[in-house]
Amino acid sequence: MNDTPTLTLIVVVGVLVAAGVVLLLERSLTRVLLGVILMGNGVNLMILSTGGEAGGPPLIGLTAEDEMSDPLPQAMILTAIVITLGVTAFLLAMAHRSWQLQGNDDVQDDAEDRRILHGGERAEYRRRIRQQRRLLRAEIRLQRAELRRRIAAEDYREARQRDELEERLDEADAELREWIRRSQEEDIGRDEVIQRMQDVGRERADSVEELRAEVDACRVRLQEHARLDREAERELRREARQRIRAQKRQMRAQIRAERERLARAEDSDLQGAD
Amino acid sequence: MESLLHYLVPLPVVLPLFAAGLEFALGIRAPRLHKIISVTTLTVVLAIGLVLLFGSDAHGPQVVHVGGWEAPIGIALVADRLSALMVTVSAAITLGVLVYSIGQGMADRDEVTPLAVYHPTYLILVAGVSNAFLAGDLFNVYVGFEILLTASYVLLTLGGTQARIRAGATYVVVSLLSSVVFLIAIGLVYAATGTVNMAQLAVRLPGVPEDLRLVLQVMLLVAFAIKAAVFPLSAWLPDSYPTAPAPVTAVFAGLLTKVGVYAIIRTQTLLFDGEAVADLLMWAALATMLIGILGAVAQTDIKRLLSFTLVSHIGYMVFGVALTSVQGLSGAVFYVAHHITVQTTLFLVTGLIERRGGSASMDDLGGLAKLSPLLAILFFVPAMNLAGIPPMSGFLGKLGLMQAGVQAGTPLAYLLVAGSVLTSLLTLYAIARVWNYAFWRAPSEGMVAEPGTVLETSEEDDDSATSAYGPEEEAIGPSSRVDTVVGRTATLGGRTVVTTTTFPATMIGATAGLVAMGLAFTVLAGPLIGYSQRTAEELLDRSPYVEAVFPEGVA
Repeated sequence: MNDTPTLTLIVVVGVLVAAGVVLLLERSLTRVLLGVILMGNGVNLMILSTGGEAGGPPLIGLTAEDEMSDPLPQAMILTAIVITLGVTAFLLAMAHRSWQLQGNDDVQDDAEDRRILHGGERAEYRRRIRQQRRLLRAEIRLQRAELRRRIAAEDYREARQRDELEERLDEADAELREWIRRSQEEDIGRDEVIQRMQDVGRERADSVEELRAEVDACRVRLQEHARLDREAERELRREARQRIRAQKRQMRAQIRAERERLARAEDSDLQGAD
Repeated sequence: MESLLHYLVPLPVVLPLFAAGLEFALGIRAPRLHKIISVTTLTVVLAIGLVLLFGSDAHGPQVVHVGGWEAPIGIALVADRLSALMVTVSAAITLGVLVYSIGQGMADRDEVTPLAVYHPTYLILVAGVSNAFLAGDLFNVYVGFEILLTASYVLLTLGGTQARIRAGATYVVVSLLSSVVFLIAIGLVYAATGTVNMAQLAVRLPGVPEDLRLVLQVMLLVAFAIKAAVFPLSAWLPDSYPTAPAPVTAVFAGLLTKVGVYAIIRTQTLLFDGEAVADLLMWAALATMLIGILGAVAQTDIKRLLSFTLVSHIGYMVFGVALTSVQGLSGAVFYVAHHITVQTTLFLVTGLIERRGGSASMDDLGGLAKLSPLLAILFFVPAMNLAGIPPMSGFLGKLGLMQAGVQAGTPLAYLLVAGSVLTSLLTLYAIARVWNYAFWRAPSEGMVAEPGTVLETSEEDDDSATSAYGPEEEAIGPSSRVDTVVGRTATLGGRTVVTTTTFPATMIGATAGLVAMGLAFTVLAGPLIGYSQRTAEELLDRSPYVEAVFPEGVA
């Protein structure tokens, strides 16, 4: 009996398997299923061709022994067909279930692949966070510098005021001393002095009193001013701290939200659910 | 007595199949009966496995010609030392996982599926695995593969939630592809030799032209390597296993890849000359070890991490096969038995961790050693066993393989030895990370879920399921929701999972039993290594197998 397989069968097997492989590379489960069926049929034909040339039914008494076709490949094919049938039914059910759950029957990405895919996104995101942090830090630095500048300006203004007041105090003191000196120097008639003193002195004495009062008032003002100044500085610092804290909080919230989003994207259970 | 021994050979296949049929016939009305039938069947299979183990060791390979048809015409089932060992270990593992899953109430969580499919499907899976181990006929191996694959499709997508459908799609497509490759290879083998009986092939294949023989060998190797998750063909595994319920993942991780490894061992020793592809297998083993373990180091989810260590440790077995020496094969056989047990145990413990801490992610766990010391012990022992800390069986297995590698003495073998040491260290690192994070570190506020926390695993899936099935589903729902689970309100993968501090005794008992089995490999290391030595000699000799199938010589 001729054992060489026919070329027709070989070509058909090749075409079927090739078409099956192409379909198997598709994403849709239904096409994969069709590919599996085509490949299965191709392989079955291949097994059939291993039996050699077709012959009579392999029954003793009906066919001469050298004209019988080989029954074993046919038995194997039958088994393979039954198996393919079962698997086909299962794949169909799975495609249907997949369609029920997510509206398509695509074979989904491997979770690992998805993680790697999100890896780029993750790096980009990390970069963004770092950048934001840098910005925030720069802003904080800026605010601190401003605060220092304002405090320095206040200090300067205060010092000037104090100097001015002290100058005026000195002036008044000097004038008073001058008066006293002159009164001692001009040893003219006591009466005259007294007269003069009474003339000018009264007003001068008034002015000395006034000066003293003014000096005192200035002192009080100075203290008050210093106190206010300190308070303002405290307020300023508090405000800056609050602002920094709020910004930090906001950034943390942002980071958390982003992390959650990424985790969701990675979570295979939720894939396609949103 | 001895003459009756071979009648036991088909029972590991036939009994689970009958039991599954019986359970289907009983339907959902008798969930208790399902449990009794399943446990009894698997216990009997385990006993038969043990008898076959000792029988085949004492009296040589046991053969049954199914239906009384003599070998080349009928189908032969052969239980030699390797097959008997695999059947025994797989029966022990499947029994342990079954008890665990009964504790978990898996079997009754059929709210989403109208039939109580878990028990019968599980038994069919066992039948398929046993058939693949016992088949003495290449096409029957294919049938065994298909039985176990089809059952595994159902188990993996149990409940039909979105995550499982997603993972299941990858798994099914990859498995189909491997089946097609296998089938093509069988067709070509038949075309080249005119037989698919393995004993006959062992005699006829050497007569085939060398190039053609290499093509056949590599095609079969590719088909089995996909199943066994050897490196370039392993990408599907870490993605599809972790989504399934814990017991299913455990039994898949432990057994299904090892069926591929078994098939590789069988074809490389009995049918082909292992030398021809030894270098290829060496490199594949090295890549599998290193790339697998590097993947594990990067993971935070314990289940995914364990899946990667699973891939990585397949490399050890392939290494043993690639050495094609008695020592190498014996190491591989011992390692297969050890790894099935340890990997399954670890996945079961992870299921318990998830149940206690509310998550399987290291980021959300902490302080479990204090919260649940029992859990810590149950995790620690198999984890150290996996990493290969002396004097556990993991250490003995690795040591045996490395000694075999050093004995081979080629530069490539030394490279592999270095690679396996590195892999072992990295495994220890990965496992220690889990230990440090989940068990040792102080948990921060709200990190470990309070007992009684409802983990809504598939809320939205259930909604859509109800809306999709409509009133029908509702009508089926309540009747099948009979909760006969021992003191548990939780069902995993169904509506809700509630974290708890106490576990049903069956879950703890099953896990502890498997941990003890892992330790027993150390205690019984002497006889076991002797057994695997004899197995390896028998495999390389080939003639006991062939003579057992064809007592009157090969036609």
